[in-house]
Amino acid sequence: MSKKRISYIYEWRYTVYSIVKGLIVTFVNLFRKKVTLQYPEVKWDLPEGYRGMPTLPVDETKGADRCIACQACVRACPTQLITVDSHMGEDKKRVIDSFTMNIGLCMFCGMCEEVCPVDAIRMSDHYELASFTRDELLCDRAKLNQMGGVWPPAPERAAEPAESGTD
Amino acid sequence: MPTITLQQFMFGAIALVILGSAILVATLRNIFHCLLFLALSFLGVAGVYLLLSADFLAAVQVLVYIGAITVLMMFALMMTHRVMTTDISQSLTQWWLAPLPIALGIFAVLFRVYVRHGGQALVDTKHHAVPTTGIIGQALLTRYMLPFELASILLLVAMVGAIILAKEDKSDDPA
Amino acid sequence: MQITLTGIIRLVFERLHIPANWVAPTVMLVASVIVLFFILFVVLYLIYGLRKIMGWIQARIGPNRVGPYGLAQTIADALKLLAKEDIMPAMADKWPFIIAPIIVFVPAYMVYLVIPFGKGGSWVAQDLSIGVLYISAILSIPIIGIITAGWASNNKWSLLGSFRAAAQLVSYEVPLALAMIPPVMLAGSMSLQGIVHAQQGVWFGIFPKWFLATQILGFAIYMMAALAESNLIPFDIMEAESELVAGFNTEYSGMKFALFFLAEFAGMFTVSAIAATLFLGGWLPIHPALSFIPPVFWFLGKTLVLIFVLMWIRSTLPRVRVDQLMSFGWKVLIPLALLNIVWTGAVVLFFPR
Repeated sequence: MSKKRISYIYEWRYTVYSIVKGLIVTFVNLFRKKVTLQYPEVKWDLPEGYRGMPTLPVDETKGADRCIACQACVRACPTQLITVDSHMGEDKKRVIDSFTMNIGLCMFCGMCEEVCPVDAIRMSDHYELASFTRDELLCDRAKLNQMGGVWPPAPERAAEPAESGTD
Repeated sequence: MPTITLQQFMFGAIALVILGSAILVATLRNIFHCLLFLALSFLGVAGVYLLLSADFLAAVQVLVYIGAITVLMMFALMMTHRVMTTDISQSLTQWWLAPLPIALGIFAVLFRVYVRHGGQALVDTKHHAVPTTGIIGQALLTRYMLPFELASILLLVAMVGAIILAKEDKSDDPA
Repeated sequence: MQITLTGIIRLVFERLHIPANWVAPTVMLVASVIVLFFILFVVLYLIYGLRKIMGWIQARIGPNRVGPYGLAQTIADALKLLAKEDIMPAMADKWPFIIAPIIVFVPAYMVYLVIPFGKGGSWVAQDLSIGVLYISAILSIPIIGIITAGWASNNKWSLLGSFRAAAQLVSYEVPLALAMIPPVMLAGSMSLQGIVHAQQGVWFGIFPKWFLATQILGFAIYMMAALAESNLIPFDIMEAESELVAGFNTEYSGMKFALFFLAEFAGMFTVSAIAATLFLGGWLPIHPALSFIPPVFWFLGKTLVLIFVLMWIRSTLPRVRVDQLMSFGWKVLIPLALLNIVWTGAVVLFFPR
């Protein structure tokens, strides 16, 4: 059992050297720019593709969201928080009776957004979703519309009908 | 009616603390509580030294008896698991035979001193304290050189002995 | 005429026709209350300072919510601690559990008796002739409180913590006391004011005649032992949060925990103040030309610089292992401290003042 002996003096020199070096590093850090974000006052610049709360944005050309009640999102949701009730309308299109999302169960995976055939669901920028009651987290269609805002934004709107026309 | 000076009052109070806690040390069942009262008793003795204007001695009393000896005993107590958790009772019935001669001896010496000086105070406590540190240092290194050095040799021998006892024996290692 | 506490109280008592023999006890009482409030103030802002400095070192901002710059943060924390429930573990040893924080805090408070904040008798509560010895004697008492706390809590972590605490404090008290001896030798006095007075003057018109000049080794030993005594991080094995939850104060809450906390930070100020007094000339200015700044500011300034160094080290280094701690104390610090005493003896012998 032979252990490689390090010279005693070398060991001590190294100890002192590393302690002094560490102290210098921390001293320099004292004057560094702080990385703290003063959260409620200063907010984070959200990166592109950020997945916040799922919403139903209002299509400006239509005046309402684009949901066609196909139930794709209901099936895709891993936590089954979406319920869509609808009935057949006169023009053979489905009319939505209610569209609710229980945001309290949402894990922001974005499956609903991905699976939606008409891009009705969009993961928004909202992340401050805390509430005092669970009922407040149960969002109906109106709330989802309101949270989603108006979409697509003006410049893209011109291209949009053409695209949907090819479908 | 004799009036009691502040000093006499303090002495009475301190003596009460010392004796009371000493009795508790001897009678309490929980050995940890005994140790705490032992520390209190030592602190009282430091108080007596202060009353006698022996400031150096008082500080040393606190440093050595409370800071070292009591802590050492607490350490030893924590090492012995069994004594810590249970209240143990004295199993030796003639336990008082050991401290009795010591107590009587100390009392005899004190009584002899008291008689010889005719009840007069040995230490002048009326006057304000003079720093005793320098005087003690000079006495220890001149007049009482031999006892001082002998005491330090005794402590050194005790330390070396403790190290030898605690050192692991490598010579007859079966492996 | 200098305005002193005694003078003010005497004046007030004369006005109110209170007998003169009440002056001395009142002065003592008022002085102790002043010192107590000073400790509370210092501790509150040391905690704030520690959190700020650690924040800055970690590129954070630190507390800044309560009051301007977060200055009222620790006051709020203290009030919260006082308002909290005082929990007594069911199987705890009741009386030792209660007195343990007191045994720890009272010595930390008593040390302030001899700390010289400035020039003359009005800036020190009582300048004892055995000052240095008094400090090392008083600083040895809290160990009993810590062991008592750990034992009375009836908790494994507490007991292990207090076990480590006792081992560490007993071991590091020796180099601390040995490092305090050389300034006493150089000054020829154990009174802290005497030691400060012995450091007056300058060499070659520039360098202050502080004991640091010959005592760089002693100062280093003292600061290392002081780190251990105030259990700051490289030597905080007695509280070691990641190993022992919180060591001896695991079971403590509310007011009693506040007392432990208070004692710890009061101790941090104490060791720094003593280092400033023994090695950095206490309330003396760096150069006599700068003596227009009042002595108390020099004293507090030096102390704060040393506290900053302690906090800086605390937020830089990792915790040492128990065996490393013990072997460093006994095999390195104590021999070096003894060597330093021999060296100081040579200095005293060959360069008498």
